[in-house]
Amino acid sequence: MVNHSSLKKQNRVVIGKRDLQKAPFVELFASRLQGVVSSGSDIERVYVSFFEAGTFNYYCSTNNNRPCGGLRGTPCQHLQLLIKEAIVQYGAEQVASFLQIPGDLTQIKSEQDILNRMKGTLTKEPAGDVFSRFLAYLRYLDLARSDQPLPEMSWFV
Amino acid sequence: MEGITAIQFLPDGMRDALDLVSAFDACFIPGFANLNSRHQQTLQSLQRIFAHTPLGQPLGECLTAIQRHEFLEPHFIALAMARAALHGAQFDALQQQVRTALGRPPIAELELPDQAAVLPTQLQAWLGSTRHWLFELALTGFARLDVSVLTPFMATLAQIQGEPALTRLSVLLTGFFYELLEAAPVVDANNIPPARWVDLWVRAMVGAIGQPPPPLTEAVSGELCLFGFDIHQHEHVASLIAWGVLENGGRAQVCRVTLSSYKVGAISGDEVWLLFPQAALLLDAVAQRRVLLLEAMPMSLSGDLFWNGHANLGRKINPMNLAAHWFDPGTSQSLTPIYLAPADRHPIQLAEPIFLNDYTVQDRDGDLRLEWGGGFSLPVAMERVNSLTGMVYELLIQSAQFFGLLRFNAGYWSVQPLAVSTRPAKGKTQIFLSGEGGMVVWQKPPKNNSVAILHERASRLLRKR
Repeated sequence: MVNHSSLKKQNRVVIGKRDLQKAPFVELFASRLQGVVSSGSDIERVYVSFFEAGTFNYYCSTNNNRPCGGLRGTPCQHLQLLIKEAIVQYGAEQVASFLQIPGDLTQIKSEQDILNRMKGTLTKEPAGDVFSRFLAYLRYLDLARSDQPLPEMSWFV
Repeated sequence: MEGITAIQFLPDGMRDALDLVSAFDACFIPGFANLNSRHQQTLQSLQRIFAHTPLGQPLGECLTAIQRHEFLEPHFIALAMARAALHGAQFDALQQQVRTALGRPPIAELELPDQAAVLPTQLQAWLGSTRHWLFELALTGFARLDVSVLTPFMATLAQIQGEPALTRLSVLLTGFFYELLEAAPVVDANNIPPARWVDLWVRAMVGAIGQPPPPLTEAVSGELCLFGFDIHQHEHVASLIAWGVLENGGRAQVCRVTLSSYKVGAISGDEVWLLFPQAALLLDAVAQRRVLLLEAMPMSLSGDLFWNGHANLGRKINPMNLAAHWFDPGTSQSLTPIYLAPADRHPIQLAEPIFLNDYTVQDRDGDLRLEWGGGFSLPVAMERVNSLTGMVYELLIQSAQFFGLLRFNAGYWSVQPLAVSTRPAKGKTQIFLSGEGGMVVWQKPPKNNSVAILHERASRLLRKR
């Protein structure tokens, strides 16, 4: 059945409200679940964390590329929070499917279910790329408002 | 109600036009580098239709080149223009159909400057790389869509977003880009919405050829009565359109105010209202059911007001009574309608205001329909209802009077609610206007809301560098 509609089917999945104080930026982008997690102690500091889809390799460092002290052979609390917040934003099944977690994805309910199924290794990567994606994300809030008619928005509900 | 029943049937030739567009859209699934003989035949039919028009020659050249596997960007501009023209013709036929059915006079064409805006070289370069990206996308095909086809365009997109002269193109490209990114890599081609994606591709290509000049405006004053907000959003843009009638002396005009803001995905639900501090007065007028007294506000010939805040709350009104007065299909009130520029015409833009009553609301397999005796019914266009409007199923199914916009999509007419009234068994008639809940959020914003948190993060991290 060909879809003749110009409009998108409305997504009935209710997306939850993420905790932006703790994790201001979480995304499924290219082949990574990546994001930025606030430091619990220093308002100026943020941690940049990612998991790679398929390999499940992961890393966490400050935006100045200092490795996170919590990485001791397993994903640190920032990485755990990253998955938790991604589940709130995208739903557990979508996160698991994006990361290419094997097995029955409908059984995945929590960040622990995902962590248990991932055996990746710590892979050091500069934080720069993810951090610039975060800044680009924040830049949306700085863009000028518009008061002109935008017929192009008719395609979006 | 009798006249309106005519919209159950498509105007002459419409079915063929819809079928041709669908067949054309199918070329974008494998991509133009991989067409089969059926796709080639479709392109030939397209060329025959335009043979005696200015697009005849470019389409002829395009077809010959594609058959030889020579792909050049100008050929794809011709294809985009041809498909846009087919939709423009559909828009005209459908608008005439609905206006005739409602006993409303045809909308006169306006003399608008037909020259594109003169853009600085830098902006032209960004339009050039947009066309190039769209060209690559058409060659690759949606079925082979991959992140690698998308990411090279991100730098250009960021530049376009920062340029207010390109806002129309920017909001479209941003929505389209992130929708494709979410769908990539395409695993099952059956999940591709061809009509929608090719629509977006065509609008992007047409916008990347050139931008219309800024609209001509005149300053208007008078009493603006609002009926509610039509709300549109994608992950990175939210747009409010207040619909109303502006009265000044003997003149009455359907008009709209559009206010838009960029956003990020984390700002969703009620918090979206917080992106619109400049809309406070409009929200207040809707919530209080008061008119706005406008003082020298710029308005384009199309009926679009450019909101400058120069307005005051005026007398209390009953919006449902006014909607009946202006928009009942039986009424003979003379109102200047909204005018849409020819280049923007596409059936999705049809929005004929209408007041409806004496119906029963039925749930047909989860879809709401307004039904009248004699077998005529109109589906409620729930696919157009943004959750921020508050126009929920439970409210609509209880409605007794309905003001909305007649819409056309996927081959049939439906009606999008902007205002409804309910008549409870006990108690008084109640009126609900689309988006009236916005004022509450605006007056009492939640503590630690996403908009405030991200603004704080932006000012701390963006300015530091």
